[in-house]
Amino acid sequence: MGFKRNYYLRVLIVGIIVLTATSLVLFGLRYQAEILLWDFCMPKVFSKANMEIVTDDLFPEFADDPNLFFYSYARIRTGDEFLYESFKVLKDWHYATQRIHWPHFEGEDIQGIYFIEKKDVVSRFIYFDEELGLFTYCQVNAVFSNPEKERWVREDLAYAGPKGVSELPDAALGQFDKDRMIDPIGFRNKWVIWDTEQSCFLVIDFESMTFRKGPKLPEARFTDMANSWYLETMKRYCIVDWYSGDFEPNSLVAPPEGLLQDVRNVIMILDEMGFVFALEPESLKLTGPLGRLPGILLEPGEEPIFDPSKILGYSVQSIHAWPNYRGLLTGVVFKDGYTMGMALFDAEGTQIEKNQINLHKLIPTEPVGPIYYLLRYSFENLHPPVLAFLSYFVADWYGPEEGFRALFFLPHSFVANMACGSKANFIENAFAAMALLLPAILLGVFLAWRVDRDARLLGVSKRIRNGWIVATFLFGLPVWITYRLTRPGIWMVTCANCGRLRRLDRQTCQHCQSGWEVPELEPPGWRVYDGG
Amino acid sequence: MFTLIKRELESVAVFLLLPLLVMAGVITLVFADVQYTYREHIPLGIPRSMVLAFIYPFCILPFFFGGLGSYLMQSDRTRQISRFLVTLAMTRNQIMMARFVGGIVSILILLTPLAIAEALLLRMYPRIVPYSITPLLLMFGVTFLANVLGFTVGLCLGQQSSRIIAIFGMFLLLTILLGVVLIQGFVWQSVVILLLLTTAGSVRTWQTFSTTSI
Repeated sequence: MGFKRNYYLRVLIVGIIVLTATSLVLFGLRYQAEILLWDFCMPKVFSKANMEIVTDDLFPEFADDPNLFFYSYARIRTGDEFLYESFKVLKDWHYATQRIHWPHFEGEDIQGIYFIEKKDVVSRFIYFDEELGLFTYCQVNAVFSNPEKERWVREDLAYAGPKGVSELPDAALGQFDKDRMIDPIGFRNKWVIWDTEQSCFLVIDFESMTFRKGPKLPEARFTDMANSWYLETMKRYCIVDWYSGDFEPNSLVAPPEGLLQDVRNVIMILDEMGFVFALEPESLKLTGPLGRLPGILLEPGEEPIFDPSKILGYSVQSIHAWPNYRGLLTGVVFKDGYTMGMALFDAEGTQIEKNQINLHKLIPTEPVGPIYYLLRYSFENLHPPVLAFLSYFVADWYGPEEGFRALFFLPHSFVANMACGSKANFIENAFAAMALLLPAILLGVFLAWRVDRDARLLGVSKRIRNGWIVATFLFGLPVWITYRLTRPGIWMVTCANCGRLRRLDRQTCQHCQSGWEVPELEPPGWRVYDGG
Repeated sequence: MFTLIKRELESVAVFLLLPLLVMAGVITLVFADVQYTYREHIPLGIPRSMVLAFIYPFCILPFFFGGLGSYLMQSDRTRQISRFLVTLAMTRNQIMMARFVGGIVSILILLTPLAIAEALLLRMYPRIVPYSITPLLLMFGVTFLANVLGFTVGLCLGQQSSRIIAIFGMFLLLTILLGVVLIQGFVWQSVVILLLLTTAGSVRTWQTFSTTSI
C-alpha cells in the first residue's frame, strides 16, 4: 500500500473513532447540563410558572355562592421521570433496554395483549395474531402436577376479523391490516376497533360472540395516539389534573385511570388533528368534537397549529358533576419538553380557557438558568459546525423521543429549535442559524488556522493542507483532534540556510528548498572602505 | 494458518477459564429464574432474566477482551513472538489474521453457551403467544460487536510502547464508545455504529502492525 493511501486510510479511521467519541462525550456533557437544570432549577421554575387554569365557568350554579372559598382549577405538569424517560440514559439497565423491551419482554405489560381476566391458574386475554391477521381470544390454564404448576395450556376460544367473529379462523372473517387499524380499546368486556380499511368502528364481544360494524365515517382520521396503550406511554410525559375546589368535591367523578373512557358510557377518541370525540360503544355513534389538544402557538392571536409529530406527551381528562358531563381538559407537552399547552372546554366543546406555557422564559430568572444556557450553548458550539448547522434541516426527521438521544445531529439544539417554530423564510433562517453558530464557526476558523500553521511548519503539501483546513473548518474539534493524532511525529532541526526549523526526513528544507550541503556564500563584488 | 490460530487460542485459553466459569454461573441463574417464573406467571414474551443475563457479557466482557487484546500485543513486543514467526515463512498479515480470528473465536466461546442456553430455555418453556425473537437477536448482535470492539481497541492500543496508555487508554476509549449502546439501546443504529467502529479499529490495528518494525 502506498504511503499516501496508508495516510488517508489512517486519517479516515482515526477520524471515525474521534468523531464518535467526541459526539458521545458532548452528549454526556449536554446530559449533565440537563441534570443540573432539572435538579437545581426546574422545581423553582415549576413553582413560579402559571401552569393552571382557574375557573368557575364549568359550575355556574355555584359561581355566586358567597361561601365559596376555593375555585376549581386545572393544572398541567410533566411526568416525574421526564428527564430520564426522555434521555433514557443510564438510569439503570431497564432503561438501556427499554426501547425494545416494551412489547416483547416479560415483566412488563406486553403491548398487544389485552387481559380480560387475570388469575393465578386461569386467564383470558385477546391478542392480535399477525400471521392470521385476526384477533384471537384465548384462555390459558395452568396444569398441575404434585401440587405445583407444571405447565400452561392455551385454548383458543374465538377469532375476530374485520367481517365477523367465529370459533374458527375462517377465511370469511377477512384479515386486519396491522398498519391500518388502531389497537382495540377495551370497554366493559367489549373491544372497539377502528378499521381504516373500512373507515368504521367495529365492536366485538368475545363472550357473547357478537360483532357489530358502525356507520362509515369516510372523513374520520384516527391514529394510534388514540389507543390506551399509547396514552399510557404519552401520559408519562404529560399529566393534567383537575381540582374541584369547593364545588361539592364528593360529587365529582374522575374517569377511570389510564383509559379514555368517561362515566357516561362513552369512549373518548382522538383524531390525527387532535380533536377529541365521544364514541358510544353501543350505537357506535360518534359525537363531538368535545375539545382539542392544544397546538403550537406561533404568535399571540394566531390559530395554533396542531402537529402530532411535535408532541412528546398528552393527556385528556373529562370533568363531571355526576351524572352530568361538564367539560374536557386537555394538555400537551411539546417536543422540546419545556413548552406546554392546556385547554379547557365546556360540555358543548367550546373552548373556555387556554394556557400556553413556555418554561424557557422562566428558566433564565433562576440563578442556575443562565449557567445552564451557557453550558448548553457552549457544548452545542463544540459540536462539529456542519452537523450543528444541518440539525436545523433534519430536526423534523426525528421523533419527539428519539430526538433526545440523537448523537450526531442535535434536533433539540438552539439552532434546530428555530426550525420548529419559526415562520421566517429559508434564507433568513439559514443566516439566523449561522449567527447562532458563530462561536462554532470562529472556533473552526481558529482550529483551521492552527492546523494550517502546523502543517506549513511540517512542510505538508498544499493540497493536503487545504483538505485539512476545509475539514477542520467544517467539523471543528474532532478533525483538529484527528489531525493531532495522525500528525507525523518528526524531529526538526534548524536549517543552516534559512534558519527555520526543517524536517530531518527530507533531502531539502521545506521552506527554502536548500539541501543539507549549504551552498558557499558568494561575497558581493563591492566593498565599503573607511574614508571612501 | 490453522496452526497459528491454534497457537493463539492456546495462548489465551488460560485467561478464558474464569470468564467461562462466571458465564456458567449466569446461565445457571437464568435457568433457575426462567423455571421459577414459568411456574408462577403465564409465560408471555421473552423472560426478563434472559435480558438481564446480558449485563455480564455486555458490561464486563468487552473490557476483559480489551485487556486480552492489549496483553497479546504487549507480550508480542516483549517476547518478540512475531519476530520469531516471520522467520518461519509467515507473513505479518497471517499473524494478524490469526490473532484476530483467535479473538473472535474466544468471544464466541464465551457467548455461544448463553445463546444456546436461551434458545433451549425458550424451547423448554414455550411462550403462550407468538413473540418476536428480533430483540433478543439484536441484543446478541450488539453484545458480540461490543466484545469485538473491545478486542480490537485492546489490540490497537496494545501496540503502544507505554503499558499505562495501553491499559487506561483502552478502558477510557471503550467506556466512551460503548456509551453508544447505553444511549441508543440495542437497536440497528447501535449495530451500524459498532460495526463501523470495529472495522475502523481492526483496520487501524492491521495498518500499524504491518508498518511498524517488529
